[in-house]
Amino acid sequence: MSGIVWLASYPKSGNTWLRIFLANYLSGQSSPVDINALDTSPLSDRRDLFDEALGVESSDLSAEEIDSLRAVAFQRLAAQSPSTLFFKVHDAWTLNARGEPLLPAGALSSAIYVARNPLDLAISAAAHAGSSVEDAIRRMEREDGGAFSDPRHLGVQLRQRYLSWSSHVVSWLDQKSIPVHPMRYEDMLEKPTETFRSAVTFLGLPDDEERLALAIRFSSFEGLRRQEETKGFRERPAVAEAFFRKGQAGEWRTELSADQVARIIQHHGAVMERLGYL
Amino acid sequence: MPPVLLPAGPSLMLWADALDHLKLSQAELEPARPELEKYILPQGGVASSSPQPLRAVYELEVTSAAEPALKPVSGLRKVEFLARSVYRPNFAVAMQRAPASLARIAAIAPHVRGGIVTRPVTGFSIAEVADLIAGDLAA
Repeated sequence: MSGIVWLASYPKSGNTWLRIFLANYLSGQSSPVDINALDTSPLSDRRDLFDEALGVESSDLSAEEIDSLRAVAFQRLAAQSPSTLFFKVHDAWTLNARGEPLLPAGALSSAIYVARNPLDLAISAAAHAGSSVEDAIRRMEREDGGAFSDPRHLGVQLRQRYLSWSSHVVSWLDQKSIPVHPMRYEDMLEKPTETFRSAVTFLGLPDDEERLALAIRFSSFEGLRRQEETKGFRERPAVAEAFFRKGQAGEWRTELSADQVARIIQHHGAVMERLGYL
Repeated sequence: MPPVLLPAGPSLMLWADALDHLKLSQAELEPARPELEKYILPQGGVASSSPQPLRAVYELEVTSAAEPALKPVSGLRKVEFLARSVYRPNFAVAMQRAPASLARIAAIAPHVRGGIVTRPVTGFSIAEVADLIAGDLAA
């Protein structure tokens, strides 16, 4: 049986960037990994993974029933895998109706949690959803925030519960069930070698200087944007013009109004301060 | 010998939003389960009691592309394509029948068409997607 590493974040926080870095680091190849072949870290909410692991149709189950079985599904996937499994996850760390963690806890699991300044995140989330920044800010405040929860519709992914941005961060960083390595999007930008090396060390991967430098270069924002422009990115929502948009920190200084900044700080100030954003 | 299969029963299961889209009422339909807004839509007739020829396998995929499209799958890729189309491939693994299953898939592959049908999330017509499949089958 192998272990599972959760690559966790609130949406639009740099999760895909981390996945692409890891894919390149694990491949060790001299050319960049195709952004449309990120099979080393699939989405944890894919229906086919759940269905295949348990041999049942998730489309025949209620969202609550699925939640009660998700940990079992991942345990089975881990049992069948000879090597560590990496999954991208946007769910907050929550408990199911039986009071058990949604995702498997214990010695088999660990997580890297990527956080991003919510002031910048709001702009990125708005572009990703094709919505206004105001709407994105409201979504980040909702304690019932999530995705694929319409009961009249079969979502292409399983239901996800994000909670609010603050609750999402706290849920992962304060849970005691699995070890978690926190990273900040801004540190990935400003001091990539140190930040990505810390992830490699946490994962127990060999610390290979050359491989690290190459993986950072192959996952640079400009490289990813070029790949998306050339061949598209299958994870781009139809409403978003591009998945890899700007890849910057501090965009909020010119893009958000004073009222929007004040509102975000009012709702998320405590967690922002904890993460060093205030 | 061309592959054959036993078709499932003559009914569809559709979610409430799909019924709305097709202007079908859910009032007379039986829910697939009481907890779900998913309904059984009878198609009339009876299930075929005899095997039918398997002509093609199409994989349906939602993408960010602007238009529906059909991409034929051929050659060795068709074997991989059919392998992932098999219902519950892990069952074969658990029964230690994976090699036999793969051999069967490889034998079937030359006899069936394969295609990946992609469509956008919105802004397309079901008829357009159906025409793509019908056109490929007729080719």
